[in-house]
Amino acid sequence: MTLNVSTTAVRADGLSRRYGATRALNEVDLTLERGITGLLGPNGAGKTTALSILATVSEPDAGRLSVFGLDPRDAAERVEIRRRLGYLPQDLGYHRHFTAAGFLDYVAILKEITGRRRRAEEVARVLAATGLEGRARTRIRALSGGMRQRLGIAQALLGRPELLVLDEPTAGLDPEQRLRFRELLSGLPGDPVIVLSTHQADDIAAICPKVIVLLQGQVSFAGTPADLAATASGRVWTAGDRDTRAHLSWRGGDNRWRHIGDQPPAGAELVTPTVEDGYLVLSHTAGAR
Amino acid sequence: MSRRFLGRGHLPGSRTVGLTGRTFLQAQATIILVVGFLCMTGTELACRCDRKCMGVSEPPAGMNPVAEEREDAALLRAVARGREESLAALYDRHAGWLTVRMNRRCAMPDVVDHAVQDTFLALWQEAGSYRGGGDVAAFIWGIGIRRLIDAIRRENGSRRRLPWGAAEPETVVSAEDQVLAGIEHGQLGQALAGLSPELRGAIEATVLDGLTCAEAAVLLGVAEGTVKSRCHRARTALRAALAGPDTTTHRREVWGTS
Amino acid sequence: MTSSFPGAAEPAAGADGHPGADLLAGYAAGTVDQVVAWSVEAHLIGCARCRSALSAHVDAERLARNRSVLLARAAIGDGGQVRRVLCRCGVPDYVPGLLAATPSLRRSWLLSVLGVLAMVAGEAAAVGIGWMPARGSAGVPGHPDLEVLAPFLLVAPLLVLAGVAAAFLPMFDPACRLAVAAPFPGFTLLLVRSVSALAATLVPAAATAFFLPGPGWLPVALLLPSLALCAFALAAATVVDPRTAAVMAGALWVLPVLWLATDRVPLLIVQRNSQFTCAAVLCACAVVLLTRRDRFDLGRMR
Repeated sequence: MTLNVSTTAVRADGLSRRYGATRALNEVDLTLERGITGLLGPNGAGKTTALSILATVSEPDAGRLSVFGLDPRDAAERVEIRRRLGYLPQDLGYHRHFTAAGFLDYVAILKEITGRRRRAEEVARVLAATGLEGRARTRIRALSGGMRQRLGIAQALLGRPELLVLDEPTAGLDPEQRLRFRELLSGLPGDPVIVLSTHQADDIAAICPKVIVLLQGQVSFAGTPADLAATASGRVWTAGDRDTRAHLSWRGGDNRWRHIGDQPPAGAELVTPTVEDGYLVLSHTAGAR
Repeated sequence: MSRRFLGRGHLPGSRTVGLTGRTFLQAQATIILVVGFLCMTGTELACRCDRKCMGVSEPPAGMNPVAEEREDAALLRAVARGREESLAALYDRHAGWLTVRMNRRCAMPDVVDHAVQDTFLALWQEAGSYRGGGDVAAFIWGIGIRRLIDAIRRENGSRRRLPWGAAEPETVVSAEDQVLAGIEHGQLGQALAGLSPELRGAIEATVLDGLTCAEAAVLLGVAEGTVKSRCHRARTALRAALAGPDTTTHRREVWGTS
Repeated sequence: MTSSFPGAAEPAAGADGHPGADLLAGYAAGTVDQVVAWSVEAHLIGCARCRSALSAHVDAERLARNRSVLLARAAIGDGGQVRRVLCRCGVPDYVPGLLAATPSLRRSWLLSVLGVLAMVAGEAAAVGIGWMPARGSAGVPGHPDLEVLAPFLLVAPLLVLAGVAAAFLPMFDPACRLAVAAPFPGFTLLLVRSVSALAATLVPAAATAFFLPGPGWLPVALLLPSLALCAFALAAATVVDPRTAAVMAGALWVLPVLWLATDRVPLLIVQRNSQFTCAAVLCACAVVLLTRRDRFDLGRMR
């Protein structure tokens, strides 16, 4: 399907949303291009709200959204967006009496894949992609948490969507599975727009060429992981002992203390900051506000 | 089923009883509702359970090993019992020749793919109907050819192209094949080789594959009457060829050598 | 050297032998003569060794692809007799798949419904037969002691409403967010589930009504009130959130029945005037539902 827009496939301007007294999102601007974008932020920062708005599941109280040039406020265009969408919500529930293949068949029906044979082909394809072929006939209540998460990723892949919205897709996956997940995402044909949320910085560092940091309902940073790490340059140092001037300290595996603070002491051993360090600096700054 | 009550008994002190009856009724209704609702939600919740609950620990990576059954009949019995690994094993053993054999009868690869899938699905559902007499492969082919007919019908009668190898009516039979046909098949083989491809196709469908004329018509992509007339002509030609004067000497030639 | 192999056409001819690799390759490629191919096929029926040798000449990727689709279809399942019957009636292909996810069609639910109905109806029938003494004095002349019907009249349409509520309440659909995010029209999904839940619960309720003491039109009289209740709940769900809608519909039935029961004329709820009211409510709610059906495509997750 050819698009006549430039690389910006999804644009959101001024999204706001509140639940009762709390403001989940406050004038959030997002721009998503083809490829993988990571959404980083602590719990309660509004990641889930933002993703559910992108997936047309919730409506924002204010702001505009444009997905592939389509506006979800119009009913027909909303259906068209949903035809190109794959969504993995947080804490997805399953009909527990379903088998894995039966559940995928159900979701394939919801995605308007007609014909039992075509649905079976799609189900076979996503089962193979997520490594669940051997579990196709297992009931979901007998699957472990990691397998259920892979099943959730599999259902999002049905129908070859052009926009993949994944809310905490690596939750509950062990490191080997997370590696396979990264390979899966980078190997998807058709170069879809993928946005995934996480609060693990190493996932971001490993697969996302672009990262957006959400703190307290606002966009704190949008750029590459390297730039995010660079925001903490000159503010991370190691020492053999605690340092009260640091905002954050913890002891690493090598028994040396790592400190993050605004003013490292003179002569301190500065280290190259990681993505996580940059994120911690930002969240501390936002918290201090 | 009595629709009449036992009298309109006015019990002594009926007014008091009436009041008690009314409250009692309402209390009953409430109790029934509550109990019923608890039953319903209880059974539903028992089945649904907490969605954060971890399932059983991950089963070992290897599937249950297929028992060391080398017999296809034993595999079929396992399939009838619902063992999916046995279906996969049966597929690995039989899908190859089934695909090739179907390819020879239908040149549309998509249709053949669908027919192969449908065949093993039919096995999955009806493995119990195999009664143990005869080759499993013949049983599978019996199912397969009918699934192929169905698949072709679903393609809405697009004309079947002739299978490869019989493209031209004047097929040049290689010397080797001639020898093979001559020695191994004897007279019948020669007689068959002497038929034209359309007549051979009709024979293949009706005699070798055991189809009815209607089914053969779908497979060959011609009218049913055409199939019948081709069979008739083929039979006549074969009879004529087999009743030739060189019969006895040819037979002695074949059987005399060891 | 050409290897010889027995042809099925000539049982007396040929010693034991198997087609060579070249012949098998030629057969797989379709380049051999038809008669030779017949012989090969006849041999393959009986020889497992040559069958596996032939597999090496077939496109492995094609075989693997068909294998995975086959196993997926076997895993998804056929839906059994129900699907075949439904498809023969012209029902679209996706309906059996959607029904598999409907909680009101689960065995546990249906058993619960039957249990409750049996309890309520059993007691009323017991009074009718005379096992239990009738309570209270006569109500409607000609049909004494119809107070005993009050629990049944209360419960039966509520059960139907509960079945339909399970079709649209998000708490009964664990994957509801997927259904919202999918292009499949929410209203069609709802309709499929509601109609099936309606049928599944209404039929036992009406059947139970046969065994109750009382007027003979009782089973039929349950139809309109149940339909009206369900239509009201669905229409209300387009205006307020689903849980409130279900509760409102339930209250709309429970309060009048209880009030009439205290006046000892519970049957009035299903007699002529009420039937007209129910029909009117049904029509009004159907109109509201149809005009506001796109509200079901929006998520209501709070």
